[in-house]
Amino acid sequence: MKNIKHLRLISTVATFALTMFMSADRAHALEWSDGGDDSLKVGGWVRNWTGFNLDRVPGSQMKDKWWDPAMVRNELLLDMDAKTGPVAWKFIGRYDREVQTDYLAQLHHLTTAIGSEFNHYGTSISGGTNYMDQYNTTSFLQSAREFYSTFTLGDRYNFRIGKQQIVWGESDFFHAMDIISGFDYTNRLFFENNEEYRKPLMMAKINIDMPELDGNLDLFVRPGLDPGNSIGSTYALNGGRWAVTPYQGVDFTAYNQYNYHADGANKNDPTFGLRWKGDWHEIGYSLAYIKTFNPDPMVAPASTTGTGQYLTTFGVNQTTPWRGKYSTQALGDFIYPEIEAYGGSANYYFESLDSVFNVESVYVPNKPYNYGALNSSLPGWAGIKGKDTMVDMLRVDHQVHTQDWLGTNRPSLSSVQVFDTWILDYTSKDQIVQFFSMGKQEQEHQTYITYFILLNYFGDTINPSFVAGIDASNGGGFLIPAVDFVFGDSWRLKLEADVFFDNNYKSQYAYNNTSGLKANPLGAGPIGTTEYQSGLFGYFHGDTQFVARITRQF
Amino acid sequence: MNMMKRSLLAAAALFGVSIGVQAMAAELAEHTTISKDNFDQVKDLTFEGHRVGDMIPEKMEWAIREKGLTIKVKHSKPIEMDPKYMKATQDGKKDVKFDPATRQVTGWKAGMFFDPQDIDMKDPYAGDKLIWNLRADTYGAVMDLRDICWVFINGDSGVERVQRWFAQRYYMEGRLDGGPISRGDGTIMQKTVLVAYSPQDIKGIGIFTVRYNDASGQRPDDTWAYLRAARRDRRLTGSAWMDPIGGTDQLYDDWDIWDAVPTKYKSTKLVGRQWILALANVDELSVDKSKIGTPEEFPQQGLSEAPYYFPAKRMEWEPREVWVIEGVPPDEHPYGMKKIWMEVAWPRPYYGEAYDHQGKFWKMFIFQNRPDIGEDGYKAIMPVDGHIIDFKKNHATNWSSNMKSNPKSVDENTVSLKKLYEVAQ
Repeated sequence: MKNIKHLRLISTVATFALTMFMSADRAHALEWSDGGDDSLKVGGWVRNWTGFNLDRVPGSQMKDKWWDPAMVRNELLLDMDAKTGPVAWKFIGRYDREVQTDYLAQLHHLTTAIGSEFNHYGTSISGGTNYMDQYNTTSFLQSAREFYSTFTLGDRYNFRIGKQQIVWGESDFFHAMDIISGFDYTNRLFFENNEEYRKPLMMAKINIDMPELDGNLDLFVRPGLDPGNSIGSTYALNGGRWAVTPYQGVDFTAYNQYNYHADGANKNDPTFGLRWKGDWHEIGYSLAYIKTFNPDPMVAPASTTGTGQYLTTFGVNQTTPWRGKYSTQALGDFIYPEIEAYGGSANYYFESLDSVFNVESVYVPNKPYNYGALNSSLPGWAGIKGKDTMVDMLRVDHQVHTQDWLGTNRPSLSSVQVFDTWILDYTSKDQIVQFFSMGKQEQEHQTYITYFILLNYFGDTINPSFVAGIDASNGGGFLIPAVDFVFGDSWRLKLEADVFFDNNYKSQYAYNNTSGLKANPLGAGPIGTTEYQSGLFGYFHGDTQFVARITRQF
Repeated sequence: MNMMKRSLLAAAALFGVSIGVQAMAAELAEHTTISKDNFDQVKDLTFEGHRVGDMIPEKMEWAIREKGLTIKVKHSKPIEMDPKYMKATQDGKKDVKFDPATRQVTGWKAGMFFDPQDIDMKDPYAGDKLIWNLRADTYGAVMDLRDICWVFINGDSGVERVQRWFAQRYYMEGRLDGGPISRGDGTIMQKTVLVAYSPQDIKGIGIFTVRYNDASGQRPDDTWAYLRAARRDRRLTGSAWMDPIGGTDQLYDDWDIWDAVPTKYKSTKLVGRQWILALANVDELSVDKSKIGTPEEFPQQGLSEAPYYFPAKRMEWEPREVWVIEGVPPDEHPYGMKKIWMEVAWPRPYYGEAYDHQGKFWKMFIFQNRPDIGEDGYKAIMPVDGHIIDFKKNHATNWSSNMKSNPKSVDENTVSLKKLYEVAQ
């Protein structure tokens, strides 16, 4: 016994000493830092969307069955980060490829038929001549979504130079100050993150930290190096999947192209902005100025004589040239006029209500609107006029304690937002339209109200959400119920329904089975009936769909 | 055999038996692993003079017997908190005042709020005072939660997923790094930046939190979330302290086992002072980035050993003297009661338990700690692995970090919303 105890003591001391030695040695050996990690990090995903139309899209003839997929889209995304000394590098590349479903084949047939009638087939958004080019990645430049370098000088100055996204403002779903870049609405709309379809631009940005003033200053300049189709928001004007009802299959680009070099709408003109963002007595606030392009394209019409004679065919009998110059195309140019915006935002947490209030206001002097020709098949094609406009947003965010009554694993973020566009010197005599080719006159106030709630179950592995919105000025709205599933580190599944309802929509003509066309009473083809009621959600009439998105990330 | 010889033999036999009895009650051998297989044999032994069974709280014993927890013992190692911290505690005694009416403290500048040597077991506010001490953390002036990861664990099947983050916390008060003790205008206690970088769907999500220097503890934190998918930040409501952190099993209040100031709780009570077996001097490497994607990425977690959420069986626990404090949160809090075992000499929690409103045992918190020498030489003591185990769900969220004290080149403006934008790419 005694010998064993003695040995145990020796062993204990020896082990203790050894442990101390090892610990000390290990502590010394492991005194490392991972600062300045210069390795290349690559992440990304492979993703598939399969979408099913749940409604009849006017003009498509919809011989397909509800279970036939309307969209089968595949994507590879690479998100790379690297660091070389003090400079961080970022590259995001994306390669998209779609299957031409029966539905797209029908749209293609329709587009070709209409194009044939006019002996002209427009090129796709991407510049290619294949119908599917509008959905597929066709060039390296297109695939290189973002690439930029970031570095700091001293403690205050942070630079980011390259193709990037810059987002200012606080609004959800709609854009008040978030107008530095446009969006690509040809492939997807509500159900993706803004990041996925915002159009990055070649810009240089500097952030100057001023802690002594409780804030920082952002400045950016876009020198004008981007290709033309990078500016402004791109709509499916070629009659593709997300064309506004009733223009599915109607390729407006067969008659007119985008003009990225018009006077006052020239993509080579630099755009820039500055924003001060700070805190004052627990209120977060920002003040900004942006010179940019109008997000929505405008029609700069042709003359109604000479090459513009087609306009009279559609009932447009008088037009005003943009900046004194008529378009030389058949009907007109699509342009993005340059605008200025002066804006501010604020946010504050009201403890008594346990809610965060956000406000945003943006003043756009002389904002361009299409106007006139309301009785024609092409309302708004008479020209462009500027109106001083205020865009205002009020939003309240609140955490709803849904654990007890809905069984969530944590409180649920909910938010209600009112978004209003106010034309300051409005008069109905201006005959301003909401969107060219649609007869609904713009009103003094155009107000949208949206609501969402995000729920979380089973440790955030099953995440339902519900989004709803209404057009408080014109009626109609949308509902987006969705659920996100999380499987381990790699797999994600999202199921979503996008349900649109409207009070009024612009109707399309019935097609006969032989030619696919029926004569317009005005004698110029299926550009739709004359109507004055279709607001935003009328544009999505028949677009209700169900989408499954599966992702394998790495 | 004559009488004397028989007597001598009898005496020798008795002496031998006596020696044997003393040997049975003697020290448990170091590096012995206590498990359900030998618990009854070792519970009455001593280790460093303390009865082994007395150093294992009731629910920890239950976890050993029923859930597969094992405890490998080692001799305790001295731990030294930075002398500046200890001196600041003594220097501040004359200024620090506890108001029993409000349970608030005024006059604190640095070091512990209350010297543990002055704590009286009979003081009805001893619990409050010790929980106030938790606000005077032992991490140093800047906490670099290097390589911090959260591991989501199913007790039956093992690791479900891993989230990898970057995080730093900057303390605006109680700073002992050689500069001013207090930064700013005195209204802010600390600022924290957290940014996710893996997996891809959370990459670039960032959180910036400001905790205010409010003695009443009533002023909520200000929190902003940066969403890379939206490329902008969003201010969040401030009532999150009772809520789960994302999809984890951990509440914000469970940060370092007990995060809320005492005044947020209905009551606290010092219920004991004892010795327990704790993980107080663990290894430096909590996250091995060379083994990313494997259980060995987190060498101090038992991710390969069912039920997967306990510390690795090779981890060695040592006797530490602790305070035992119970707290009753407000009625709307998920827990009905929280209990914490924290080091006597300075505020470092080792172990905790949470009970529901029916008094049923719900969660166990095991924190692994180690001393650290900051990059400025500051002697800190910090948690480097945490096990937050929800026994009702048989699920846990463990975290690990190669934590570092007082990293260079970090100032109050480094930990900011602006920093969030820079890091969250």
